[in-house]
Amino acid sequence: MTEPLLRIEDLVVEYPVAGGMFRALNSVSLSVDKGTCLAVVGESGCGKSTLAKSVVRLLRPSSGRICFDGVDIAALSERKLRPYRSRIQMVFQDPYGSLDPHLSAVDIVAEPLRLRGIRSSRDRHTRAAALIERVGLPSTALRRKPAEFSGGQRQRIGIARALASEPELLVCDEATSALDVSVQAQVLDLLREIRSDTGLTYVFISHNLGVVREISDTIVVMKSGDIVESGSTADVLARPAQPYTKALRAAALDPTAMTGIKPRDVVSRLSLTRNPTATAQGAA
Amino acid sequence: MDNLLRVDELQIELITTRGVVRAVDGVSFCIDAGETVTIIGESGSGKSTTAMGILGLLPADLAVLSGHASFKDCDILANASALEKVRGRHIALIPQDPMTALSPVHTIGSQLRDAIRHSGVTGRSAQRTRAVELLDQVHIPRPTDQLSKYPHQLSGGMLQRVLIAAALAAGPELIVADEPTSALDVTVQASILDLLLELQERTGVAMLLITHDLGVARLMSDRIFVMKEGRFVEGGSAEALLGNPQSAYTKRLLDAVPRLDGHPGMEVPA
Repeated sequence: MTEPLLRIEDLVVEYPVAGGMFRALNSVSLSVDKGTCLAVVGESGCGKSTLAKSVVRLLRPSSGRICFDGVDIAALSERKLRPYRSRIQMVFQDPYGSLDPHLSAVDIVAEPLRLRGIRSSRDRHTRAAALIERVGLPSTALRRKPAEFSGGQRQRIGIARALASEPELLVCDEATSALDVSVQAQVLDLLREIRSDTGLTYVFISHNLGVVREISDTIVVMKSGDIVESGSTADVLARPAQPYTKALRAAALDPTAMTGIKPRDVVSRLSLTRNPTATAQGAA
Repeated sequence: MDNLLRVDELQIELITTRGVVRAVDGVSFCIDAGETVTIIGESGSGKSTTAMGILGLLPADLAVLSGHASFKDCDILANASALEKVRGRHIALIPQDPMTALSPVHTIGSQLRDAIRHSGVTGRSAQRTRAVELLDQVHIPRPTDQLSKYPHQLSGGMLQRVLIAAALAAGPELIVADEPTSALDVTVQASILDLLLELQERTGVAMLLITHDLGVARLMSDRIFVMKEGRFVEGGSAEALLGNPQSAYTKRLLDAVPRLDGHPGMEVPA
């Protein structure tokens, strides 16, 4: 057995709230082998984005270990973390909010190259242009600013920027949720292609089980800060064991699977509850 | 024919900084009483513009509408006062984003009361009774307690229920629902769609549904129109259209939907 690229043990993240601490992650453990894709699914507030932010160390966990390539990065100081920053990259949910509106596409992608110590601006430009081509954008895109791109194109720029660091682990936080279905399909294709070319490892955060089935090898299902179910994606989706996973599975509406069923029959077949208290939760 | 809503050759041109854009280009459809008709399409296809145009909710100085739209044989496109009479009473809107559709500085009760007052109920206590009744209809737990709450104190799914309650205030014959569940989690989405189907069974209200989600469209609709670049590329019964799509565009949309597996969770519970 080789050491997994990412191994998380007993990870706890707590946020201070009025009158105490809110536990967003409650002793989460998981591992991701090199070259595979782990999907993290669950609803808003289940802790999946907190998990993503912990892995890229945008926040410091309260306790537990995040072992990346054998080194626990959970509590490393910012200085010691530096070499790991480029090896773990993130693609954000919102392609509008995560790109600097004042920079051109080529400058956005070139910035991590400067941080990696490529001194010559010509080299940076050449490499950034190659990355932009790699994610399927035309050469006319180089000088354009984020506002001049569509949502799908912006997400491609975000992916090119993440790839510029030549990461070993890419954390995608709802990277395709804001996109139209046909654009989503193209971005998923791109991510799959990059994986087969470079052997990149993914942690893919999503609430869309269809997307997760297409891209991931293994899956963890989260609820209220806990992992409630985990295993191979095919197994968990085919035979969900936990009621929560079953509910998520039933709520995913697949248009082709409903053929031959009258519209008003579907709800009863989904055995949805008409009692909303299951989903009723006053926000804090 | 006495269609509830009838739209003929609707054309909407929007005045933008880049010139005039024909967002809706000759769209015709009708909705009968109790029926659900869905317009599906991707961002920018003109589906929401169509709905907002019919409801007269596009900025008058930036949108030029032509064609015909009539509600119960009464022209609502040309005649602003006719539209004013039916809107909010006979036709109600459920907007897309429940977090921004409500005012953050007014209570649920006071915003619900506005809709109830518009429907013609007078007197504070009668309005309050009606508000509680409406919240109860959309299955909001402890309705009396919710009236004094502010939107930030409720979850997205609960806020969407409040908006549905407001839409129901006047007992409308047609509900226009613009991406009613796009901002919600899948299980919350399922419960809201279920609520809409239940209300429809009980009251027989017709629905014009705008969505980009083919699964939602299939679940809710009697008939579906597929919109692309301002035009309908295909239309028909939900079953026929998604089961056996004719146009290349509809096929492409269906192919792009990530599949769960060959025969997803449709097993009938014993």
